[in-house]
Amino acid sequence: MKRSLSVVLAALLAVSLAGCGKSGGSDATTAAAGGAQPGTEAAAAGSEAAGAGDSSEKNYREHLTIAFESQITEMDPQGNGNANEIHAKLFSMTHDTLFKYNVETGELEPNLATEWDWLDDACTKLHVKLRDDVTFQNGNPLTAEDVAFTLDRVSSDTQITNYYDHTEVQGDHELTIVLKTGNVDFVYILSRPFDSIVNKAAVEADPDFGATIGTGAWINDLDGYVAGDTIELKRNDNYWGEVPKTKSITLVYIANSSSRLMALESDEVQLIYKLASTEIDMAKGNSKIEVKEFPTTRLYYFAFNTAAGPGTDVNLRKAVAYAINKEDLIAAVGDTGAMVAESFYGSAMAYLTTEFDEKITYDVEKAKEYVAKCGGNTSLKLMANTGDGIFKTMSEVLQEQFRQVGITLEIEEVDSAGISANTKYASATHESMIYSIGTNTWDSDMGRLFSVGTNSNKAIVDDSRISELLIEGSACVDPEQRASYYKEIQAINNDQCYYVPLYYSSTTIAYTAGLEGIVINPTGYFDYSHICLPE
Amino acid sequence: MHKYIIKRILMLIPVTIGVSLLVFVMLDLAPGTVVDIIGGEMTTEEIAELNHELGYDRSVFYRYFIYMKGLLHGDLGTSYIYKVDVWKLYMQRLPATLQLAGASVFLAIVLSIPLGIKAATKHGGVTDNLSMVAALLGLSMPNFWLGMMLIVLFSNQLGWLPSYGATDGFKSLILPAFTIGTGLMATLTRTTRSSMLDVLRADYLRTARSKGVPEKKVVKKHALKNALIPIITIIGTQLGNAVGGAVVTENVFAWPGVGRLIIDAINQRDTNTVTGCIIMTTVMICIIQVVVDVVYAFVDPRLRAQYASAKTRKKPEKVQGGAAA
Repeated sequence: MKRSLSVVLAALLAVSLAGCGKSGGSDATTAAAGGAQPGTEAAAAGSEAAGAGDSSEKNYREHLTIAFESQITEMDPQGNGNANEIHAKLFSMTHDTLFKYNVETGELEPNLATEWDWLDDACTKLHVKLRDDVTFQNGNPLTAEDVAFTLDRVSSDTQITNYYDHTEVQGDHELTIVLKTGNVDFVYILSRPFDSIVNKAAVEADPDFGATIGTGAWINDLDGYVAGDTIELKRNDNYWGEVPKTKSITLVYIANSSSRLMALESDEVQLIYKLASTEIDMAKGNSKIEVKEFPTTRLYYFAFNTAAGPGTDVNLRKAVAYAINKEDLIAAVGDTGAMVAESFYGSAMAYLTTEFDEKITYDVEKAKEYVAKCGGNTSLKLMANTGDGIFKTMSEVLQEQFRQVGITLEIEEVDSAGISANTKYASATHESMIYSIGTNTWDSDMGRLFSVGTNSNKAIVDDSRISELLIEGSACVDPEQRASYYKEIQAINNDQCYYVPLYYSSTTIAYTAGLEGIVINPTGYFDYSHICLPE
Repeated sequence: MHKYIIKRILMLIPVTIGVSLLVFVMLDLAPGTVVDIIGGEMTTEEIAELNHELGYDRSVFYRYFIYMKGLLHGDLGTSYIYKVDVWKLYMQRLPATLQLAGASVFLAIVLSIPLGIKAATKHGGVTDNLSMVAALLGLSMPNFWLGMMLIVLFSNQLGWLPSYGATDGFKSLILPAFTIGTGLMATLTRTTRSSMLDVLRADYLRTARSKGVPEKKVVKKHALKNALIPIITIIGTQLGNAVGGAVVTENVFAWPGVGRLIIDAINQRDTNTVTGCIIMTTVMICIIQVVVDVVYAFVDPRLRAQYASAKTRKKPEKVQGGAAA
């Protein structure tokens, strides 16, 4: 199951649309670079020749516009509250990370770092060598001091702060990152756009906007910045990697889905993300635009508050798990590309398993058996962000499905701020909830959902065995041993039903026919750095 | 008149205090704070630290007092979400809002007043009936639907006008202004018509007609001036509403106005942005109301006379007071 899912994901998720580097003269780029992603040393070297060939053959539109469904609220990669897919798209363009995750191979590749290795078996000391030819957009050279400064300034991201201790700088281009607790996945964590490197001197000189200066292919043009609405980017002609073919890009916030699609149809916008399910067929019928639907690693789930209230009863939890018909749920929300989730785990993670002793699937009779064991306590409150149509639909469908097995579900309607406030680990008031999480590709990422005290632990799980396994799993380098740890976590969750996995959602992008260079990542961390539209 | 204007401006103080307090208390009553929005990946300790930094570990009144202290120094605070000064944020959005408000009201005035007059003078005729049907249509059509239809026609099919944003200057303004203006036009046409109908039946106009004053002059010089007061009131109110932000239309056209900013800030519990923008909107609406009052005085000689008599009445009072002392 895991293998087949991986194959499907490799084929479907890691859709890398024919990039600029794959058209015309750029084929040479791919060949020269051995298929390396733009931004790697090899790709950068090969691209110069290819770029020259391209410019004589093709003309590209100078300006492109991308419309987003949510606001980009800030341009600092380490800013508060921006660790999400929307901001990742910006940071992928304006900044660079030490390592780059290749969605096709699933491997890490050099980016600002040329080499790295763990100095100890416990994975607490990561030695990194940096490129020596990279400059920031303000002209300052990239040094190890900038990397140390960047990691030191991360304060609102438990994925970093739970592990990172300090950095030892060993010259201009060499450093050792020291962790509090070993984590073999830390290099993967550092490949996220939120951990892009910023320039120490620039941030110290301008604490408000200094961090907008990165080493990326695109420069934030602050003159055109309208907070929460528009971001103007201009090409970084001194970029150390492959210089984009497009000269400028506007990122604009268009909240209304229909308005986004109409802006695309009238060619005012060349790329949009997330179409409403009702608009997909209409968009496909337009020959001037192309539509790509693909599965994502976003996991929708049902979580109990296992610390207090009816969710402490494992029989009720199991009754609920058996009562949910996930196919019906998917059909109701209209997510035609969604995949049923059988384990509470990331779909692109290596150690996903669905082989459990008691496999939980939709079974009304089994659900009723567990309901009978609940001693009459079969009422449950479900907290849902009903401002989001998906959750509203899901909560109504669940209410009906639970009714069929004798569980009364009362829906508590809140907005996104309300759900965050009421489900904090230390002060959770919910009995159960439905929510989603964008899972990453590395296994230790599941720690976010099980770690004691972490607010993304929505089931308020405090399971000592899971805590042990998380620590052992993150520090273990032996793949087989790691697999056993993470599979055991999944087995415990399946047995205890802290979380009931529902489905992995799909999403859609639509763009002007002929647009090239979109690197799709199922985690949502797209890279638009090299999008271009031949004229 | 000057005193009246100063009095109206001074009234801004209690209004601002009331509005800002209301915003603070209501946002406090809503579940969640901005820390819940931006602190998704933070530890409990980090959240506690941020709560302390932003004053969320103190009472709403303490936070309100701190905010008002800043406001007295001309500081609207800093947006928790955008990390930008709220004044700057507001001023970035205000031009777009004013353009849209101004254009929609202008469109409504230019089209509805003549139509309303025509409907009143041709009462019961084809023009009257057609204009009333059009007004009913204008009132009935939801803005989001009308906006979409206009985009489909003028942006997608004909390609004449942009479908979103405010970057194309005048061309960008046409569709959203027309969308907002349609409802306003409908209201204004109906108000103009009914106001004119009332005045046209008045005795003094019958006298004017019997004296041989041409009908055009009767309508333009005598009737319209007297019918303008309710029309100006409607214009003032609608302009005030538009300055506060036409959220639905701004959303459909991705118009970077104040309304959308406030709604997004409410969803993100960005108290400083919401309060700052609402205070500024309150000030703008008060200014518009003062301007409307001034326009009343210019249009209606009776009001001018009232202001003048209030001025002359005051003087003898002072003399009398002095004599008594």
